Amino acid sequence: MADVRRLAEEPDLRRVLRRAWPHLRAHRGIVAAGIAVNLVSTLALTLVPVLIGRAVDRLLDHDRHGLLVTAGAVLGLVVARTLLLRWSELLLTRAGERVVQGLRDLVVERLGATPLRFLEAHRGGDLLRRATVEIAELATFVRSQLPDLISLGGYLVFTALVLVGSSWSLFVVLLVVFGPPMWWITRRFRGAAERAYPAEAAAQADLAATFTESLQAREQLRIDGATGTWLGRMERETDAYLRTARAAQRAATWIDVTWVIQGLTSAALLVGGGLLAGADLVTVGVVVTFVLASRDLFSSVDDFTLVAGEMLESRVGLARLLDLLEAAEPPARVSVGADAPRPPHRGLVAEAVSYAYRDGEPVLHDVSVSFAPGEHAGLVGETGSGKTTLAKLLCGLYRPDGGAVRHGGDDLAALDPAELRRRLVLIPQQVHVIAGSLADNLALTPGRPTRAGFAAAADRLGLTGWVEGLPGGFDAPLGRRGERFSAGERQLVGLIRAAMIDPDVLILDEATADLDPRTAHRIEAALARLRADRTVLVIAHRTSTIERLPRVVRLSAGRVEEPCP
Amino acid sequence: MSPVVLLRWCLRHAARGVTASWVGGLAYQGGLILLPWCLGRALDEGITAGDRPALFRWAAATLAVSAALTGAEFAMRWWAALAGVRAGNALLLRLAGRVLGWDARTAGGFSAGDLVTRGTRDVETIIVWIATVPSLVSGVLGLVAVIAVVATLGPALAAVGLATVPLLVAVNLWYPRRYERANSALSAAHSARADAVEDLLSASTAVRGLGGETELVRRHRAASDTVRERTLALARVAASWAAHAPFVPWLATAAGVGVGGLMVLDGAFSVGGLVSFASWMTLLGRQVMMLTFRFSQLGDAWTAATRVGAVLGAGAGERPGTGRAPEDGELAATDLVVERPGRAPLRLPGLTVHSGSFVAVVGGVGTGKTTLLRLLAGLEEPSAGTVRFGGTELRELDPDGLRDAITIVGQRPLLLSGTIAENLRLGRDGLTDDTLREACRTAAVDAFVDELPDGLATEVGERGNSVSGGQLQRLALARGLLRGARVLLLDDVTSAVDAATERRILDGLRALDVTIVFATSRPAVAAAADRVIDLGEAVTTTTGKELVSNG
Repeated sequence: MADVRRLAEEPDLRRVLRRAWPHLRAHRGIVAAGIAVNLVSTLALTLVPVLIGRAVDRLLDHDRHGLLVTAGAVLGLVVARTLLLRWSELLLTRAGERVVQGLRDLVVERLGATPLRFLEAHRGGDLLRRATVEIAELATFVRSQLPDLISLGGYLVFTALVLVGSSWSLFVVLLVVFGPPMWWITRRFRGAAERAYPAEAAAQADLAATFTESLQAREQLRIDGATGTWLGRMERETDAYLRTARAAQRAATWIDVTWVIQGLTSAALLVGGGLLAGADLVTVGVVVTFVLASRDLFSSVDDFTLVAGEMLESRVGLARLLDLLEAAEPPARVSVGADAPRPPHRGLVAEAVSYAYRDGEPVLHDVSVSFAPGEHAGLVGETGSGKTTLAKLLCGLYRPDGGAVRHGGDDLAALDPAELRRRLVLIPQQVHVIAGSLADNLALTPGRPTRAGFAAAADRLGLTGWVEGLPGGFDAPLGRRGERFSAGERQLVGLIRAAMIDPDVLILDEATADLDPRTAHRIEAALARLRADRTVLVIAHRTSTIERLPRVVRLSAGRVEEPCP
Repeated sequence: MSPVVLLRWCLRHAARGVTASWVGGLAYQGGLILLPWCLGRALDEGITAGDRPALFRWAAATLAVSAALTGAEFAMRWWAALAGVRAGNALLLRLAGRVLGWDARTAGGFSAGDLVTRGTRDVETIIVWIATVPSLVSGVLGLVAVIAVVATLGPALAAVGLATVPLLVAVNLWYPRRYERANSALSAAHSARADAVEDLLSASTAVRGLGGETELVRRHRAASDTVRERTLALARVAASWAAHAPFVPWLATAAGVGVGGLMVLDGAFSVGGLVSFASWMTLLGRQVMMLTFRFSQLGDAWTAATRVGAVLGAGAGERPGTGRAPEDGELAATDLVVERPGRAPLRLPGLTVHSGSFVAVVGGVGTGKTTLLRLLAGLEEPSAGTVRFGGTELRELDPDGLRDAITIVGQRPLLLSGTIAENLRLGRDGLTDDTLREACRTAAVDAFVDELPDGLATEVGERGNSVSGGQLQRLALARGLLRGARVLLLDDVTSAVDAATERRILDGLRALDVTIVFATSRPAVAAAADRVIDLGEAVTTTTGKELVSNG
């Protein structure tokens, strides 16, 4: 199975930001502006303790005027900070939302273009979660945590600069007592968190996937009286989530320990400042600045570690998203050399095609079969003989592991998706219905068809009467999951879609199995009649359908048995 | 269910953890208030007065308070976070239990993507909120304590500190409601987008085989644009809130420096006291910021609880019957009419199926074959007419007993993620592997299972990948047979199997001593039946024709 790359439960966390950079580059202007405004607003905040320190020195000098001027300056800073903070938050949110919207649109585009096998090979809940909840979390991170991170980072740098300027000796005390232990603790925290957070995210994703599945399986579970069993399974998964959450909380304990270091630093600053002030090396105002600024510094470092922890979680989310983006990237088209010999056959040809869903268990072995333009043929065989797989290969929804499928001499793997669908179309037994009206559903056809197009297609299949009998005609609502239409009626929707387009090859995979025999025959004939040179392949079990076909290809255990005349 | 009731239920579930965390939170707030006091004393008694022993004493006190803060913060965080997860898990299980109990009509009221959002994003929001309740409550007490402590510094500073209170209250009254409104609009936009993604993910072969996925991608883009607009609308409210909330304590700090400074010059106050005041004002600012954030989380949780509550409240009108279902009996339907939203009501002919007989139901597209089977299974209720089993109306029977007596195998069966054996057993652990194989034999799927690398223990996916349509139908048939029900309702379960396999299945079914109603479009099934009920011509060929029962 060369076809599909599986998503990692706990994806690679290395170089996440560098991998994400291409998605950010387009928005770097507004991001830079947001960061700049945010830093200026942070600077205003940083200067407050310095001014208070100045005020204390004015006090000890008994300078009444200087005190009032300094207090006025504090007031000005506070007002400036408030205005700038609001502006920067708006800028950053706008920038972040642009980035996130780019990502979520890209994810959906990729999911739309990714090989079918990729979607089939993953739990829908997991894909849905990555493409919705985790992107929403990323948006929250960008909206709230990222501004925090920037202002806290800026705050730390500005405070350090201001303190060095006030007294380098006290700053050294601060650095020596506070720096190394803080660095060590942060390292321990990161080490513990990198193990614990991805495991927690994976357990949570499992639980969400099971919950999503239970929504789809609701009726089946009721019929089978298995609701209790299913809830038991969910309960085991909630227990697993709780276990991983406990491990993540254990990792966060390192953050609490920072209080001890803060206490140590405060004590050292008091003692050191007291000794220096006693020797008249610094003013009391400078000690006040240090004590006040270090308190803010501690809580900022604390917040910084916390936000950094949240960022780790967001990084896991971002890595899972990038993993999805990378995995869902449509495979490169096979390039065909200009001098490659083009086989003369104009029809649809499978050349020694093999395919496996799981390694070592091929379901198709060296299948070679060809269909001429205008030919009508049936593909038959026992269930599980590989008919549907071959149909998906023949219309390019799967790529063969070995061999090639060609149409008009071109390798399907080399065609661009729009061209591929212009030439080959597959209508399966189960028709997908989206919430909305019949017209909304018929619009799920390339080329933006119009109302007149729907009517013409229905007419060609002799279904005008059926449409008119529906309440509102083409505006008839199908219900949220199409439950207002029976399985057979849903097949009619799929067949009208097919009649609106004009492919060279039409493959019907049990596309009329849910219809009564008479309607089925009429529609099959109409679809084949629409164009003289159209190749029509029919997969069917209904004997009467097979009997009317001029040629029948029989599959048996993944091999072409013999072409029946 | 109202959000208050739901959030209270969650809190009750987390009561012990939340209480433990709250005690930790109180200690934490106490430490935060003591710390500036220690600093102020150290400045006044130690540094300004030049008293070394006093300086060392107060420095040691600062260290001791900080060490205590470590323990307090740990207690506050650990118990709250785990209580949140526990309560969230309980909520999710309750939600799943509720949804799994729904009938078809209630389930139709929610879209899949929307329900997923309610079960994941909204439940997570509630988890986060529970984890923050202790810090909210202890934070409010801490705020009151700070204001009280500031008040002891003297009337002028007390006035400055107290003046902040009405301003803070005003900020907290103005923003939350606006924030909540913008946030629930954003939630709805996220749900709509999730629906669009869900459509794209489940469209698979049917839409892709036709090239229709580009249209789905285009629809998603429209939903995504709405999300952006509402995110920015929310950001405007949030940014103003975030900027204005800490503004008030900062203003107080600036005023305090002026007022307190003048007091120091007049000898009525000390430098250390001024530093304590500034620290407390900073603490007040942080507390208010934290509290407004907590209030916004409360707003988020309220929105989420409204949405989760709507799911828990849905289907409250369902009143399952309590009658004991007979083990066997005659299945009889009379004068069935089914309302179909927006369409003419469907009238179905009456029928009586004797115990042990094999009845085939045939008819054109849209004549109601599936609907009839679902009515006979009690999965749906008719708007008029009755279905009786052993003489009792289905709606009066206890649903569990009914499902044990009558089982239905659908047209589009579903495999769950897990092994084939798990799919066949579905919790009936008493079934041996031999029993499973026997059922597979009857359903003519034994050869397929035997050829799998791990046999019955083979994992199959949620979408039943690598299992073909026909194999899926037969696995579902085997699962249905294992229910051991007296009545089997089969909805076109041979529509995707070849004629030889169909023959084998029909022979196997005939050999069973059970009642069978088989909706089908295959002649071989009708030929094997004791009796054929024809629901009439397809609406595609004729319209308005009377339905005929030639039973």
